[in-house]
Amino acid sequence: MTVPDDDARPEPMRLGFTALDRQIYDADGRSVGKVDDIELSWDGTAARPVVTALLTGGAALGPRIAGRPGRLWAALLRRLRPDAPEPVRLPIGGVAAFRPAVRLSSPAPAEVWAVEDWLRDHVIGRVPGAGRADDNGR
Amino acid sequence: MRRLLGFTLGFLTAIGGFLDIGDLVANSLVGARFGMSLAWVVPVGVVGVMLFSEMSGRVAAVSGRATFDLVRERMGARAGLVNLLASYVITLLTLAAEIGGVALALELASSVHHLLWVPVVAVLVWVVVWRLPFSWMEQTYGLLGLALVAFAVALWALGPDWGALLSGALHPAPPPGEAWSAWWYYAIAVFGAAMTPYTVLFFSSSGVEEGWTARDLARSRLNVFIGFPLGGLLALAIMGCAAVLFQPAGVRVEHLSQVTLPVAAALGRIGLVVVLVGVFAATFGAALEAALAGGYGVAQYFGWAWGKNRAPASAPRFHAVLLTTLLLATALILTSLDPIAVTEYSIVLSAAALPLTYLPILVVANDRDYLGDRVNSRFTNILATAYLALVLVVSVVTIPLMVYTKAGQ
Repeated sequence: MTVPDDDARPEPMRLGFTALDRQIYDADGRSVGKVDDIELSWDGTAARPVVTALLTGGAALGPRIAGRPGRLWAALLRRLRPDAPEPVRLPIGGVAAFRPAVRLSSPAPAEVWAVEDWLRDHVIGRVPGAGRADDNGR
Repeated sequence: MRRLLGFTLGFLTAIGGFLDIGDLVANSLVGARFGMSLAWVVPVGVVGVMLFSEMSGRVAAVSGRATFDLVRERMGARAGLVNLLASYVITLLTLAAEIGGVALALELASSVHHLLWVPVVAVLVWVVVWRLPFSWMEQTYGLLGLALVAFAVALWALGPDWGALLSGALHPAPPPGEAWSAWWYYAIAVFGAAMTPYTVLFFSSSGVEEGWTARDLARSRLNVFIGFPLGGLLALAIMGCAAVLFQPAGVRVEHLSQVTLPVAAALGRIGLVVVLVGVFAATFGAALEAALAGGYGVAQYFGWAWGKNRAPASAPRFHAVLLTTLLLATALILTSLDPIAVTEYSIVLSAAALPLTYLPILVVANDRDYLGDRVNSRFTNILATAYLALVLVVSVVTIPLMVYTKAGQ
């Protein structure tokens, strides 16, 4: 599998190694998640499929884990979110770097933070002192 | 002068931080039952934990990322998940054991039943994780843990026959009346107690939290290379105390009060107070580390924001996992399981799961992508591979041995 860079093609980019399971940071340096899956599109006319997006979030991870653990994961997720959640798409055009970690050239889309925002607003943020960082004692 | 102070603080913290409820229970129990015949396991475990702590500290300092942050990148989603689940369960069990240990220490000091202390301890652990700055947290409990030196003083004050202790240590075989299988089972317990996975998990993440760079590498190495062996000596002193006092009388260690009894017998009330402070600090510090390790592991696998140094509101998922872990461990201990039994199972099971922690570290520490020319030397790799083989053997034989010996009966 190669990234569509047909004329030059210096060396094949091994997606599984270079992109999959890498940490993603957005333009603000926030931890977005890991590259849980990769979206390939093929319109039938091009010579080969094209990488169009990186997918992240639990809905993308489940199907990738084969066998029993994966089925368990998917079942758990269906229970938690019955409305068949879609994984978060990060279009490939917005990726500034792949290694050593994936960096996006813009802030991540809001749906990435759904769980994080909910937890902040309803649980963690309500505890006194949640907004204060440690000075690390140095 | 400041550097000297910082350095001293570092390795003193490492000594106190090395010991936890697992070391206290395993070494005392083994000393009482098998004398010094299992003393050789302690240095084997100490060298192992030094080796892998140094590697994960190096990965943290050079790449700025915690070892388990990199495990999923290197091993893939599925292997990473299996690894995460196993180490999370072990860490949870360890956390439960440590909370039980703190509660038992408080029971010894106050005569209030330990189950009443458990919720108090859980709240205290959470408050410290929530509020106390990182370096304060490490230094406070590490330094207070030094009170466990009382075990070494007590051993000396008991005036043992040093020659007999030494010859016991040099004759690695079960004493008369004990089976080889039980002897090996407890060898695994002592080994597992010295090499507990959460220590390494915590160590590498704390390096990232404290913002280590390649310049901090020498200091972190010295802390490990001086602090851990001295911690190992204390572990031997605990074993020695039990061997001197309990083995001739045929007493079996089944409660924390028996672990501290040699100190009380040798040094009186003052000694008991000092050693209880040490036990409290060591187990409390380990509870903090284990709770954080649980949160680190999960957050790093999924790529969430994590860290004790940042404001909790900016890492809500990490703090939610941490809180859940703490509640689960507390609930486990509140079922009125015997904390000492939980400790025994946690160290033996962590011995069985050791390859899951140590294989990825070895793989990542050889990756030039992350470490450049700071990858393992050939010597480190040979030694680490030998340990990996050892740990694999241990992991294969642990569960059958546990069943066969009925958990060391």
